[in-house]
Amino acid sequence: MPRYFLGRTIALVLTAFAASLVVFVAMAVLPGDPAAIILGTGARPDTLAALRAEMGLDQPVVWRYLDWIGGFLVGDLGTSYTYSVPVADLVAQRAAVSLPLAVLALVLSTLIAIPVGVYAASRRGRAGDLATMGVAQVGVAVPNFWLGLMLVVLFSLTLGWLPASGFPGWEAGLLAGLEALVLPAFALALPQAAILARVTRSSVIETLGEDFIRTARAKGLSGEAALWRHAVPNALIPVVTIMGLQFSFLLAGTIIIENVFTLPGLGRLVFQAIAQRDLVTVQSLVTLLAVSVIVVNFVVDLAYAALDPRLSRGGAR
Amino acid sequence: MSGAVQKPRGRLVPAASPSLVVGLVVTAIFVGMALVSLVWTPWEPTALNILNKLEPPSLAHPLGTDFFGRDVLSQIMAGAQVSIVVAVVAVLVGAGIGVPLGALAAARGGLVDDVVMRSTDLAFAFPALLTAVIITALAGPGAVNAIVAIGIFNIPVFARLTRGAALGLWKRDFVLAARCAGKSDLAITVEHVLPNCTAVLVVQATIQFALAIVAEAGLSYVGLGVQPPQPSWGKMLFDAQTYIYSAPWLAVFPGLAITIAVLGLNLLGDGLRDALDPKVRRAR
Repeated sequence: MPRYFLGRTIALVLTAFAASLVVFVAMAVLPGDPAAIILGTGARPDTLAALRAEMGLDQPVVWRYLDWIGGFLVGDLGTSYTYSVPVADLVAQRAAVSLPLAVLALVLSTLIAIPVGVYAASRRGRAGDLATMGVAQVGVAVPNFWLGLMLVVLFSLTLGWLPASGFPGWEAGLLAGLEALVLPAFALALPQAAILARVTRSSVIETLGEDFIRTARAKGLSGEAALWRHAVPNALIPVVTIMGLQFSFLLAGTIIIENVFTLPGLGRLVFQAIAQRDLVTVQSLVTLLAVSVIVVNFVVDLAYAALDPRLSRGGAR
Repeated sequence: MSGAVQKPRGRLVPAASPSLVVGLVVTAIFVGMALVSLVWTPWEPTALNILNKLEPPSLAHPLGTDFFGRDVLSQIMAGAQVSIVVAVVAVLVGAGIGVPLGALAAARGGLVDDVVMRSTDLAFAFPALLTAVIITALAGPGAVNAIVAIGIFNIPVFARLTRGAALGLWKRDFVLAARCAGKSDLAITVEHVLPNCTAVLVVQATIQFALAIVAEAGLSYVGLGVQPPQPSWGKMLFDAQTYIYSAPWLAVFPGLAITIAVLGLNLLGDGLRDALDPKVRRAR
């Protein structure tokens, strides 16, 4: 296990650095001088040069990367060109919307998917299985932003239960904040739940065919007890991996969903920053998102290895 | 070429599963709709008729009209063209680059394999849709940039899949025989390895096609896909949102079109997988 852990950690650090390099290079080769964009077309050359110097744009590109990544490592994500505030502050503000949204969606999707998947597996081939998996098949196909719109039509416009869009801020109270996030969270969660339910079902079915289940049944356990005590815990191992992958989907999903519900989250920040060519913000934000995906996958890998020791003993890869 | 393509064991012509049939029919309708729209739509998709704006579904306009009085059914039919073209080309770009990369990694192994595999790891660190949004936003909206942005994320998918399938094949006897016959790695890859990967690749392509349709709709929805007046499903959804209080049906039909198209392709993919891989069929 320690060797496996070390190997994975080195891979994590290298991948994260490579990701930051990719983002930096992509931003550096973009046409357009950020200083010229800020000052507009009528800027005097000396003002432009002064601003370029202030922004560090006159430095060699390698130095600019080191300067940026050095700051990044200690939590200094640079200063937004347009807002003139630290990018870290902007991100923290917006993450207070996006992160709870993504977590809520992940929790909802898990709470829905696992019972549904286990139920379908336990009724394999019967009406209950066919019905739930039929619904799941459709659920996988529904685009989350359209589902969001349909939820708005049903729960906001027709029933009037929940707000259609906007976010009052957490200052308005936990309940008001959560109310604004319920519909977007369901819009994100339901299609993911459909995928997760299908994975859970096939994993449980596979586990039910294992010898230890036959042993459990042979020693007199009821089908129900063998299912919940032996099959489900073992079947959930691959499900955890899919949940890790879903984190990446949810992060990307928030960018569109936040547009549907006009939520002031990271997705909206990305759009604003791009529209205003606020490249430092884009660069730091994208790197941060990529690093969080890498870290989540790392944690999933470790959880996987902890749950299934065969993996870590098989050698680090 | 007498490539050693392995016939599926068991029945030569597998029984068509319900998902294969339904998937084929839905996909055929979806493609057929796009083809028909090239020559005929009930109304001119982009014809404005302000007097008839925001009409609910009727006999004349089965799915109603939008804010400019354009016929929604005609727009959905024409919108299928964009979905198909963008998705097909994006998947072809992804497979066109990813399959050779994966095949190369499997054939060469060692350092080449490591570089290809670590690069795909890196690509998976970037949430696909988010990055597609950023690429199109920075490079400018439009069909070509949308294709590139979606296609890029198909490369690692096909590279990994091809490598995985090819690695297994390189250990097989018929490849060893070809080697003994003095064939080059390239010839073995083209004649023996890739033909035996076709089944998994075709199945994956249908799934990626479905994902690309959703991605294209998402990009159009945020204004980064094809530009007006060319109708697209995502853009229709965006426009519908403005009138969601007065004309909620406008938001229903384009989303339904996306869902049905994706559902059809997913069923087709599932059906093909079951039909092409007897092992999976038994496990289900």
